[in-house]
Amino acid sequence: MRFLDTSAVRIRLDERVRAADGTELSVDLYLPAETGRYPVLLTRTPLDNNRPGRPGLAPPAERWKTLAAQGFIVAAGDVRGRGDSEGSFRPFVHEGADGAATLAWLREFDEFGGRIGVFGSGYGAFCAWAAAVADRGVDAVASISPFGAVGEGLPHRGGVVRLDWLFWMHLVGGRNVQPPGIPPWQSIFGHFPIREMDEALGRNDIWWREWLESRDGSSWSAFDLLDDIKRLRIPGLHITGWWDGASAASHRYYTAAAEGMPQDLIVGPWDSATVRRPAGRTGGFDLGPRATLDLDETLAAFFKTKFGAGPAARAAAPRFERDRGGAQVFITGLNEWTSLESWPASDSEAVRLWLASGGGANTRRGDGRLDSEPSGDALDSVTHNPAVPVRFQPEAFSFAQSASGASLTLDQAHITSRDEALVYTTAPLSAPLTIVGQAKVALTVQVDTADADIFVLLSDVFPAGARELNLAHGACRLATLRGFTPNELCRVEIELDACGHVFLPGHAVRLTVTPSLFPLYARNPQGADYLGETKTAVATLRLHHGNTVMSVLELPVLHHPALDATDE
Amino acid sequence: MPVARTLWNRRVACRDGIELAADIILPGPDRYPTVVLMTPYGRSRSLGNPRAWIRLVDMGYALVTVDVRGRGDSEGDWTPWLKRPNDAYDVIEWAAAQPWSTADVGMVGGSYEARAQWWAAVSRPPHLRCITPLAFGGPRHPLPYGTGIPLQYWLWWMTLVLGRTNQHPGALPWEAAMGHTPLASLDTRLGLTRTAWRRFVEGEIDFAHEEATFSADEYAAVEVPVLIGVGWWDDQETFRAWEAVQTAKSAADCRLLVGAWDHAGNLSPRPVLGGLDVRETVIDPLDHVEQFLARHLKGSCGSVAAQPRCKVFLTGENRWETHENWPPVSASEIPLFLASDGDARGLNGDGRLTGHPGGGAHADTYVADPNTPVRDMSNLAIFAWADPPLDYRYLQRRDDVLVYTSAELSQDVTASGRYRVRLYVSSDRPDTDIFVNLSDVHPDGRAIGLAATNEPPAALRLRYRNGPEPEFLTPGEVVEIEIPGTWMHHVFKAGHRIRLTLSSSAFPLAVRNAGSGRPWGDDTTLQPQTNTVHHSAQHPSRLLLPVLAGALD
Repeated sequence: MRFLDTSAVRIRLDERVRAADGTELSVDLYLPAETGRYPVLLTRTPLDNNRPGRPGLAPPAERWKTLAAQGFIVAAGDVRGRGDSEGSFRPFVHEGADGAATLAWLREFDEFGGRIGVFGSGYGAFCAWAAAVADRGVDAVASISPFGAVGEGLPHRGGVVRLDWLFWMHLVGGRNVQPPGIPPWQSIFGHFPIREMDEALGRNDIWWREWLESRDGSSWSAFDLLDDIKRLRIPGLHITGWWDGASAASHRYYTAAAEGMPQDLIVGPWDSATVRRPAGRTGGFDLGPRATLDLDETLAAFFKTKFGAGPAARAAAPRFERDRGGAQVFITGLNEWTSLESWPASDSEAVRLWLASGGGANTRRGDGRLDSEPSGDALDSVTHNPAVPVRFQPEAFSFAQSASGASLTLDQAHITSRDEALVYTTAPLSAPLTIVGQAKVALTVQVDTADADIFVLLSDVFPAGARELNLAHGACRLATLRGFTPNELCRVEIELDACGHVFLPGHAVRLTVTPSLFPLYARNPQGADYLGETKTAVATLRLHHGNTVMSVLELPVLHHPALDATDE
Repeated sequence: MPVARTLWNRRVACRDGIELAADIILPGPDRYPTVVLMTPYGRSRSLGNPRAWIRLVDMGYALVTVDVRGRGDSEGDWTPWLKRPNDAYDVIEWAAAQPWSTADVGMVGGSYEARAQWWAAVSRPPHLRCITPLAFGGPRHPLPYGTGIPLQYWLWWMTLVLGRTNQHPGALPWEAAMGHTPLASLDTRLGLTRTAWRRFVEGEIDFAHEEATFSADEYAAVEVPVLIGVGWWDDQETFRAWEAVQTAKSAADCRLLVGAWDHAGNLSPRPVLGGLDVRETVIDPLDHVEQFLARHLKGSCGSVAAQPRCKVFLTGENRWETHENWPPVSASEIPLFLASDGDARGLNGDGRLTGHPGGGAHADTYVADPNTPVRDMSNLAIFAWADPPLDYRYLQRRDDVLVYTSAELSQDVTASGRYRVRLYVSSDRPDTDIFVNLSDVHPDGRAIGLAATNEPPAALRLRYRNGPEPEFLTPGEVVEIEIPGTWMHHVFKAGHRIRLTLSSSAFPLAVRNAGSGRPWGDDTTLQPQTNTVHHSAQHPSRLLLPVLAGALD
């Protein structure tokens, strides 16, 4: 494939497809050099189907050509109202019908060879699933970093509003991709009330308020495809990364689709940027040469296999030769891939670690511990002023950077140096500890305001504390919990992102609890009207732990033959 | 002042009800002098380059970017090149009426965006204070396509602006397709069915047409001050706009900036020219533009009055000069006559430029085969962006290129203005093309070009030698032609030589002459043309060089 000749690929730019309601949609076609009959792969995007590349990032047309040169017809469409497609863009609403209309048009194409795949990343992955659901005749789906499931990050997670959606709404705010770096994000994200951040951004034509007001109601019905996907019975390839914002969503889609047909899952050591061009280095950590993945090759091999290509194609595609599907996950720390029969791993064992301290767990220099047994009751407390939030990233973080392909910083030392962070750490491990799956915490907390947020972060502390690799985090807005009352003890249970990691000997497990993680998450004004408060209140948060008021971290510990090889 | 406030996709209603989309970037909560940019390339793209227009916000302006009609988020129909003076007028007056504007409005932008500035200038909205067009041409040229030679390059541009948003033309197989005939179907060969190409081939649209550009009279009626910017290796037609505004009411307040850059370099000049380190001379063109804006939008006359009327980069010496008028009226046209011993073909031929006509052989003959055309250096994936100035020896080695070189100069010769070439030519076909190119031959042999080849080249399609009505050649008949050259402000240093080259193609920039006399979109067979350039005393073919200082021996 390295020397694949793409120069003879036939191209047709801006073909017009009529949607069911007469709206004209724009589709670019990439065809193999010789006329013939070929399977069709459809992908659709709100981010311009024929955009130029950026430094380090090839233009998407290069991927379409690479696939076309291997015997696929690639159809790359602009979604309604974006790029060169007519109509107006309304996220989610039209993608099923418009995708199906495009597939119907492709079936009439004289070189159509009878097999159809759909693929995409981000919103494009949603488009792929929506088309598969609406069309019912799709043979395979490849879904890279799909949009979050409702409440699983879109538009909030654990009840906390995620600000990356406001950024996304800006990016897709016009027919052209909008300039990510221009708006004064620090002041926009700092705006109260949260509901009016669209006005602070200067956009009166986006869906911010609509998304914030919608719970699980009807305006999400177009978006929530999981029940339909369960009934689909088609093979799917799901690609995500441990730090990908869409990791939870990917697992949801995978689990739903697996009800009908075995699925393939690839989880690499990538974030939202590097999952789109899988790299060996993410977040400042070198994850080894195996951390890369050739996405073009992977997509081609997947579709060839699922379209029933000959044994040669199967041999070239070891990841997909098993018909029963399964998960390929990258174990960080070990920096190797491992195969699982399914996801989540069925054979992991819940191991509990108990939060403990002498009452001074603030910062990584504090006395917070993670013990294998509970000890006497104690409490730690932080005072949180939303005006000085704990920051998600060490520098003034910009989504603009991440949109341009920069990955996150995964060292979280800037968080654990804050007095607002309660930090609980095990002693250095004497033997490797492997976790695969989602960690959980159950905390006993108490706050003196009408609302507050709790974030929990799991990390690997390198020997002598040299580095602190963030592995996963979780979020909860207390006022969304049934039974939450200010000043009273409250039980908070949070699931963290999935991870697959080996804590090596000499390393330590750390849990960090913070009241903010800005600006990935909006600051909680800590008043009664979360979306409407214009002023903020200072909160005192108490975290109780011990024999009777328990606070516990539960790790999904795995004993796996391939992974136990590291036991020395 | 960094960006303090943004307003996105604000709708500007034009007089016919069509809404245009505008983004507004503000430095604070007050009213600001206002700079408008109208573009077909995506208004968001204009903001994306951190070195470009967004810096005006730091300088205290409200920056307004607008998609032209039919592009991006603006409604209506997009017709390439069609002028829209009413849209520009309505946008300027809308901006002036906004609560963030001081009602003093200027415009910025290059290329097509400069075209839109002229729309505004000729439609004279009351709140327009100045325009600063970079790299966009002048009044309508009397011939089709200026030289009579259509540019194949325009399909690349039409692809870029196909649909509502920019396409990435690099996706298409240009290299494989550019030799396709007939040219009428070049678009479908590339996979395009919806570009303006067919209408261009049929002559229905033409960027030099009166619906696309303005007459000299319209330029002369401009009332606002104009800063015209261009680079020596950029769109040379821009100088014709500068000529035209000399009769405008605002002529005294008009300014010219000519730098050593190409089309892309108007905002970010390169520190190396033709292998020479010129970083000392690199200026920030946007800073120059801003000084002009400050004078006319902020009333900062004191600091800015000193801005020279013409700031022109002197190539060869590689330094900036200021002039009250440019080109200087004191330059005088000196003839350099073509001569040879009968074979001026190629770098090793015997072609000479001399002070007197009629020595040696009477003519040079070459065979121009359009099936093996003279290539320009266009990178087909990005087309418009060369990396000038180029060493043209790679072309001058061909035996279908006539090369005439002067003796070594004994003293520095400064040429300033536009050169001309008068030639006596004959051909065995009813039509052919002549391209002229001037280069500076350094003592080490490098032949550095003095102008871009990818913007309207110095050339003539001979059927149009007497005007827009075609007159075909009679085989063997000698005709006298004049080809306007490019503008220059250049020192040929002592010890250097002046070189004129003549050829009959510049592919794939320009459509090859099929030698048939048929409409250019129809030819499927390309006939070689045997062309003769005569240089006897009776047929004194010559280069006319506008010499400002120094003498030719």
